[in-house]
Formats: sequence, structure tokens, C-alpha cells
Amino acid sequence: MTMRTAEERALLLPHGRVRPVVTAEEWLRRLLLLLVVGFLLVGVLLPLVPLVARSLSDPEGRFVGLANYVRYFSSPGLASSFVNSLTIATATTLLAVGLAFGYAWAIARTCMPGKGLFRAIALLPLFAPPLALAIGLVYLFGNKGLVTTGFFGFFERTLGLPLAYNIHLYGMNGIILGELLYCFPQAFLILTVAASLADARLYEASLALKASPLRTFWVVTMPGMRYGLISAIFVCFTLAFTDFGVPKVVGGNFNVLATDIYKQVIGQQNFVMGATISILLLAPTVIAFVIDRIAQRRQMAVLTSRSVPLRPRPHRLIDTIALIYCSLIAAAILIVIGAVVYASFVDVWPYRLGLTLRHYDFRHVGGGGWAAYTNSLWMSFYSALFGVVIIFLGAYIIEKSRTWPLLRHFAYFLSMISVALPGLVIGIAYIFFFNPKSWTIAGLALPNPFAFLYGTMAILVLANIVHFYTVSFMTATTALKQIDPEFESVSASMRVPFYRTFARITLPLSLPAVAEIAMYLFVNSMVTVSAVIFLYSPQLRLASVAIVNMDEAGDTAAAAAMSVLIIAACLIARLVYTVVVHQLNRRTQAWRLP
Amino acid sequence: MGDPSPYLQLQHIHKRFGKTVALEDVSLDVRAGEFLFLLGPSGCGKTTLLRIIAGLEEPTSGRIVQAGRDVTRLPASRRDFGIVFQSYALFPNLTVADNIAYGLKNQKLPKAQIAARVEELLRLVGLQGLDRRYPAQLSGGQQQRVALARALALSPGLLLLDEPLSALDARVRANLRGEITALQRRLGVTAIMVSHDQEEALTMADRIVVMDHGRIVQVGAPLEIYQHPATPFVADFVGQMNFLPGLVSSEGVGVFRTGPFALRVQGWQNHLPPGSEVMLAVRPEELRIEREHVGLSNVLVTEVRSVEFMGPHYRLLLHYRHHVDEQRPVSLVVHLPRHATVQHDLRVGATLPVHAPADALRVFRLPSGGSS
Repeated sequence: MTMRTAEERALLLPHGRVRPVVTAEEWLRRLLLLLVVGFLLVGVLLPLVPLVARSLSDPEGRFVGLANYVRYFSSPGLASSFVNSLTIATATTLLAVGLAFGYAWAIARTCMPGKGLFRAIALLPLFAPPLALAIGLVYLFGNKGLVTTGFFGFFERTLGLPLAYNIHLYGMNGIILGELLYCFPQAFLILTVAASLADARLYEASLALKASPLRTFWVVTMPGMRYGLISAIFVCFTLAFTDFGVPKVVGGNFNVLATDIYKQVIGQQNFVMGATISILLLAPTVIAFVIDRIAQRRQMAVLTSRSVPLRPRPHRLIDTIALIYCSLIAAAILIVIGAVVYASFVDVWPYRLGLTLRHYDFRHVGGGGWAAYTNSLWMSFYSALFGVVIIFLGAYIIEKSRTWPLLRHFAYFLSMISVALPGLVIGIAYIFFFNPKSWTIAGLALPNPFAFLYGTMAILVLANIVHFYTVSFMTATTALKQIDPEFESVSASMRVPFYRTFARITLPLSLPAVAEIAMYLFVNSMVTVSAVIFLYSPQLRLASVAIVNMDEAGDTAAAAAMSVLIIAACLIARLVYTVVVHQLNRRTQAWRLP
Repeated sequence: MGDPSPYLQLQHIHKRFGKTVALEDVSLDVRAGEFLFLLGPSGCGKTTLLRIIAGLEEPTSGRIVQAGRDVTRLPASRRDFGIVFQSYALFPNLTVADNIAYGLKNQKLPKAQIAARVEELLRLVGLQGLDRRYPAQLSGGQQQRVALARALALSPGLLLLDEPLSALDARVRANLRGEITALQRRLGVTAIMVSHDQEEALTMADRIVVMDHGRIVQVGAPLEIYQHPATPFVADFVGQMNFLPGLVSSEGVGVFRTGPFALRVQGWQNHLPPGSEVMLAVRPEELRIEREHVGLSNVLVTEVRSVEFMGPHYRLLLHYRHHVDEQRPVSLVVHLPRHATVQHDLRVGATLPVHAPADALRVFRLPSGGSS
């Protein structure tokens, strides 16, 4: 062995990493990553800082520690809202997940007829604002509701039977019913995926070992669906705990956190208490989020590439029970949404039942009318357009590049936490962050570079993109993960720049996911009210907020009409999506695996 | 140190992922035009090494020189190589022709020239006429040929193959083995292939680099590795090997005892004190069954435990008692040609004398710290 040179000796000692040459391409990737992180910082993380700061200060901005929280819990009127919200969320979660489990199981594992139809009906409430569902309940179970009055006294008059029934809608009953309708499709969506991920071999093994159907259910079915169940519970709890629309309409005197925030901020201009309650609203959802993350991390691949998909076998009794069960739930959903549609055309409920279009002429009611509707359409369109670009590029740079690992992990973290932020919290945090012309940090006044956004369409779009970021991000990430990671390696070996491979390979392969994200963002921006209710300006009214205003003013029929318009827009968006995906699939059939 | 002008030099490559060491002080010279195999069990670092050569992964420290150019800090896009992956990594939305032309198009070559090159490459891998197909419409073997053509499209100086045959059926795999070697010889391209399949390495490679736990254990031609494995690990990983516990005997140089038997090993140089424990190794096909063993040396008298029919030969599992541990007899595998079975009593429990030729036996010193 010859003597080693000093240079070689230096190389022998592992000292730090070999630093690769930074190419122009790498700088471009870094720039992209920085833009995504910048967006998430401004949209997600930084607005939370003034929110937390406000909750720890008095109205004059002096630090008071936890005094606001102490004050909150010592005023019995406010503290009871916290318990009320927990009660509502728990009850809704149990009911929604329980009912959706049976519904999803029936669709995935039985041979009952009409599965496609049942699926479509179960998803219908996703296309309506929660406010609309509550309004539907009002028309059915309210003081002048169809059920409460016994079909306007029809049974009394014709049959002589007092078939009227008052469920005392306003209060806890109404909120739970409304939230149940709102959460059911979300739970169904998650559980239906879990229920269809079944490996037939496990069931055959169980059968061969002569296990009873009940034992098979506990040993094979449940473990496979466990993580889906945890996810569904997390989603339902968060939605019901933080929802504003349903309690606003059918809450009556039953206060929950979400309506308290609204009253504090809009009614009393008490921003400090608004901030304090927002943090309380955030706490359980953050805990639920953490639990869900831990559970998902432990999830193993339920379905391996060698799994054999389970094909349900006909069973007359089970199929009949499933059909009856699903029919009852589907009917309940259709009746509530049908009631909204019907009420929007009825002249004067319940006295003059003739049909009219006059409720669609919003000139004589508050809320902004048709202008609000077109504003909402544009806002949703922009949210879908800019959202899909930002979210897909963000997911791409996180998933497919090796740029700055720590910053990429940070970007991933920010992308995932936005789901834990309720819309109301985003709205109120945005007021604190974007409204002031300058921020005061440690006695220093810094000009706010984002203040120009306040009161514009841009801040509404930003709020929507952030509000619905995580689910869209996960859709994009899942699609990108299915693309062979070696495509980037092969392209580099052929000296093809990454953006060419993105444009020619990655993006075309991900188009179905891109369309899905755009549709999701559009629909949710249309129906949401919680994030935007604090952020819209009088010049820029929105359809979903108009429903709140009309309902407050007693113009329930107009609110129903606006609800119908929103539902129509969402269904059209869904239709466009279906056609686009169908066309995509037809065009790309040649290169899909047979 | 070896060659005057190696095409690729790896000098003291270290790679760590957090606390785990993936590669430890790997140095290797690759000659121009040779077909080199990185062989080892999964997790031995062979794929990491290939990715470092490609620039898809950075070494923690070390130096890589390719064609006289220090490429250590260059990203993959600035290096000169073509690569084929186990997953083929063909772009599913591009036709076969577009897949092959993917890198050519980026070089802004005239269309006619690209078309001619694609045609040439398709002929090279025997896929003429399939240029308009999509990858999903091809068989696995055809897909891997397209990947090979694509990797060769830019006439790279170095061809990297990351377990390209592992996902294929046995028969297709055997065909492609020969084709890839022939192609590599014809083009004279330097090639490095990662594999965990020793049979593949023995049939295809000019030289094999055996790796274990992030280190190079042995480098050599296939025959050399097979006949003279440097360590028990190599002996066991490349081909099959029987390991017999042994003691240095005082009966003469190169004589060992295993159980009640004495074995003479030809060419044994190392002088260990009598009584030292060693490991004797012999391949199953090198052992002979002897009917008349009286007077013969290097014979083990064994008992038949099981007989398995393997097609061309029978695999016999034999036992004999070793004095060190009477509870656990020593196992021995012997491959016996099918036609030879009639001459012997192969019932379970029968006594069978086995001859271990002196030139077939290898001796490994036990690592200090005792036997396993």
C-alpha cells in the first residue's frame, strides 16, 4: 500500500456530507419550495400568532396571561357552551359514524340492488351548505313544519287523526339532527373506502377455519376498518364541534362555541373574548388531529398487491335488511333536501301552498341577492383555480424533489395542520393578521405588507384555499405517490430538466386528481360560511352568508331559494367533473393497465 | 493497484443515513468495457452504491472519478450514464418510441435523426414494429427491453442496471440474461449491475463485487469467487456450501479432524497450533459417495436423514456425530446425479460413506471470540 496523500486521508474521515453542485434547476426547485412555504406561513401559521396573543391580552393589548380563559370559565353562560359543544359533537359522532358504518358496509359487502343510487344520495348533503340542511329541518320540524303541524293539519282534517308531532327542533335536538346530516356523508366516504379494502383470502381462511360470522366480523372485518373508523370519528367530531351554520339556524337558545364566537365578534365587537373562545374551539380539534395522525402512522398496508378483492355473495335476508336500512336513510336525506327545494317555490308556507318563483327575486330581502350568488361563484372558481395550482405544486415539490429536506418536512407539516383549523378560527385569525395597517411587535410598529388584501376577493380565496388545503393536499400526494419515483431519476440520467418531466409525465398522469381537487375546492368554497363570514365586505357579499342574513331577518323562503341555487351550482360542478374525468379516462385508456 | 486507467474509480466511499452506516470505506476500480456485478443480500448497500455512482444519492464522504473527471459533487443530470430499474420506470403515457426518444428530444436533434436512432435502438433490443405501443400493452420482458433501449439512447459511457431482471418470470429472465450480456459486449459499454441472484452474477459478470453490511468482501472473476471464496459469507452466498467443524490435527501439516474422521486439505499453508478450531467447507457437488471406502482417506461415514428429488440430481441430507457437541450432529448436503442413485442404499437411517477430495476442501479460521 502506498502512502496516502493528505487529501485522501481527509476523505477517509467521514466529515459532513459531500455537497453536490447546485445547478440552476436546483435553484428553481428551491424557489418553488420557498414560495410554497411562504404561502403556508402567511396563510396558516402566522395568522395564529396574533390570535393567541389576543387571547392572552386585555382589550388594550396588555398581557394578562390566562385571565381571559379564567373569565370565560367563570361566567356560567359562556362556559356551558363549551359543554354543549362537546355534547353535540359526541352525540353526532356516535350517530353519524354508526349509521354510516352500516350504510358503507351494506354498499361494499352485500348484493342489494341500487348501490350506485344509494351512494349518490348519501353524498348529496356534501353539495349543500349546512345552513341549508338546517333550513330543511325547519320546514319539516319547525313550529310551522310539515311534521309538527301534521301535514298542515291534513291528517286531522281527512282522517281525524292527530298525527302532528313536535320534536322540539330548536336547541339540542335540531343541532344534532342537522350535524348528523352534515357529517354523515363525510363518515360514509371514509368508511366506504375502508370497507372496500377487503382481502377475500382472509375471509376464505376464516371460513375454512369454521369461524362463526360474528367472530369473522370481529377478527377480520373490524381490524381492517379500524383506521377508517378512527379517521371518520376524528372528522365527524371536528366538523360537529366547530360547525357554525346548523346551530345558527336551529340552535335557538342553546349556545355552542361557534355561535358564541359569532356573537362576541359580530354582535359585541369583543375581539378578545372571540379570540379566547377560538382557542378553546381549536383545542379539541388539535387533540383529535394528533390522535388521528398517530393512528394513521401505525396503519399497515391493509391491502397488498397480492390481495384478492372480496366479492360479496347474495344472501336474501342480509340483502333485504341492508336494502331497508339504506332506503330509510336515503329517504331521510332526500326528504330534508326536498323540503328545502319545495319550500323555495311555495308562495307562503304553510298558508298559500301555490308554487311561485318570487323567492328567487332577492330584491326585497337582505343579503345581497344575485350579486352575492355571482360573487360566490367567482370566489369558488378562483379558489379552485389558484388552489389547485398551489396545492398540486406544493405536493409535487414535497413528494418528488430532494431539495432542502428539513424545509420540505416543515412544508409537509404546515400542509397537514390546516385541517385542524376550524373555519371560524381561520376567519378570526385573518382579521387580526390582515386588518391592521401595522403590527406592533415588542413596542415596534411594523407596516403590514399584507394589509392590502383585507376586504378583497383575494383574502376570501386565500381563506378557502387554506381551509380546504389538507384534504386536497392528501389527494395530490396520494396521486403523486402512485407515480414511480424513479421517473425523476430516469429523467435526470437523460439530462431532461425536472419541469419538462413534470409537464410531460407527472401532470398528465395526475390529471384525474387535479380535476378532483378543483371540484372539491369549488364545492366547499360554495357551501362554506364559517371562514368567510368574518372576512366578506359589504361590497363583496356572498351567497352562503346571505342565507345567514335572510334567516336572521325571517326571510326563510329566500334563504331556501339561495340554498337551492348553491346546491345547483355544486351539482353542476360535480357533473362537469364527472364528464371531464370520463373524457380523460377515454383518452388515456390506451396507456392504462388492462 | 491494478489497472493503468480504470474507467470509473470509487475512492473511500462512506454513506450514512442518520446513524445507520450504509456503506463503509468502499473503494473500487471499474475497467472500461467490463460487466461488473454488485452482488449481495438485501440491505448490503449495493443499491445505495449504484445510486451514488449515478449521482442520485450523495456519499457522506469519498470521491468518484469517471473517465478521468471528478464527478463526486455533480448531480445526476450532469453525469454520463444510462439506467435501468427493476420497475422499468417506463412513462406510461408515452409510446415505446416516445419513451426511447425522451432524452433525444431534449437535445434538440432534428426529427429525422431522432426517428432513425429510435429505429436503430428498437432493432438493437429486438422490438421492431412495436414503436406505437404503450408500455401497458407490452409483456414484462418487452418492457424491460424498452427500458434498456431508452437507457442506451444517449450512448452513455456507463450503463447502470438496478436488479433489472428480478420482476420477470424465470424463463424470460434466463433469455434476457444472455441478451443483455451480448448487447453489452457488442456495444462495449461499461456496465454495472446490482443483483442478489448469485446465479445471474456467475453467468453474466466479467467480475463480481460481493458486498455485505456496507463493505466489499471480495472482488474477482466468477470462477475465482466460486472456487476461492475469501470468507465463509462469500462461500455461503455464492453457490451452496457445507460447513464442517474441524480441529487442527497433529498428524501432519494440512490434516484436520472432524468427529472421528481425519481430513487432509491440499495446499493448506497456514500453520495453526494443533487443537485450534477451524471451519472446513466443501460444496455439495464436490462430495462423492463411495461404496468401497476401506483404505481410502478423507472419508466421512454418515447416516442418511432425507433424500429429495431435484430433477437433474438428488439432494441428500446426511448426518454424522462431532465430538464437540454430541447432541447436535453435523449436517451435510450432497448432490448425487440421478443415474448414480441405483448403486447406493439411500433409505433413511442407512450408513453412507462420503469422500471429500483434498483439493475440494477449504479451511476458514474462526473469528476470534469462538465458534457460532
